[in-house]
Amino acid sequence: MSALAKAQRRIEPTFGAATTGKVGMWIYLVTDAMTFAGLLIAYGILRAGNTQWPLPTSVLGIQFTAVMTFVLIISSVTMVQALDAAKHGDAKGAARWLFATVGGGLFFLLGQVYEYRHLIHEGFTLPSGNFPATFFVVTSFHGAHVFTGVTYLFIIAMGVRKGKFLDRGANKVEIAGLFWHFVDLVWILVFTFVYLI
Amino acid sequence: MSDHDHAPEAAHDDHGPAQYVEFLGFRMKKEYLMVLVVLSVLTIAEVGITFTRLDRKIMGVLLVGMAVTKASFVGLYYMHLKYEKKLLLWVAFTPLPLSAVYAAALMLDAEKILRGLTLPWNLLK
Repeated sequence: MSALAKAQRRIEPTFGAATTGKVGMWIYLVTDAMTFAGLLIAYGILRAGNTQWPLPTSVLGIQFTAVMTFVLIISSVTMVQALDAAKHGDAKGAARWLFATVGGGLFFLLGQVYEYRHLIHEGFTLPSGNFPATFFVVTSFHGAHVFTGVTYLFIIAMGVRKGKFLDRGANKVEIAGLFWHFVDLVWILVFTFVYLI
Repeated sequence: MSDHDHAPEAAHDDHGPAQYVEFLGFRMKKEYLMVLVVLSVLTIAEVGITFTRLDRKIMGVLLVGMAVTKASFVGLYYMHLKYEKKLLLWVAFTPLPLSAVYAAALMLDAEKILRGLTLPWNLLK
């Protein structure tokens, strides 16, 4: 089978120029979004049913989390820059932007660890009430996604540095980017529902 | 400095001609910079609004509106949904109203179990 025929087999014509890997990632992200939706719905129901629910802004460090949110947004920008460089065949530039994205993710994770330590020290622990319980479940589930994304992007960055993953419009970099942007997108909603409202 | 300065000012990619601009010494696609500005401004506005004495219900509606706007910008521009075939948009967005139906059904059910539950649509009355 020719190289062109192999490449055509990997494209899902129903979805235009999208590859099967990209469509697969989208389907995974939709199912993952449902999991987050379930957790946020549970948070909403428990909160609505509790008249003693504290105002999150009075318990949580909003300014600190806003900085973490901003870093995650910036990491989405470094990710699109990485994809742009990869699509232009610039392996060195793409790897640099990918490592910057990994750095942003690590900063977020370290920020989350610092936040957890501070809250637990203040007596805000998992069994101490519905708000702490739902807070830790939702944010740590998201944190697990950030950790996965950081690992995923690190592996991709190492490959890109060696000149891999740049073929077929840097498809593998784009798929990894979709996951990372999803992690950012979900955090935007978690930050609003759990921290601000 | 940019990592790929060799590319022309208006390069072509999968989505047609792309406009590039310089920002803080980095060469960026114009629309990526625009989205970054929107996300940054909305994040600052979100945090700022929590320090005001605005009515909690109005604040909640504004915060949800801003969050959905931010999430939409990330999905449309950074995840390139704006440039994908419509079928992929359907794959991505069809579950959203379904999850809203799921949430509404759960809340109606929970209303009978939990005492003092206030349904979101009653908050707006």
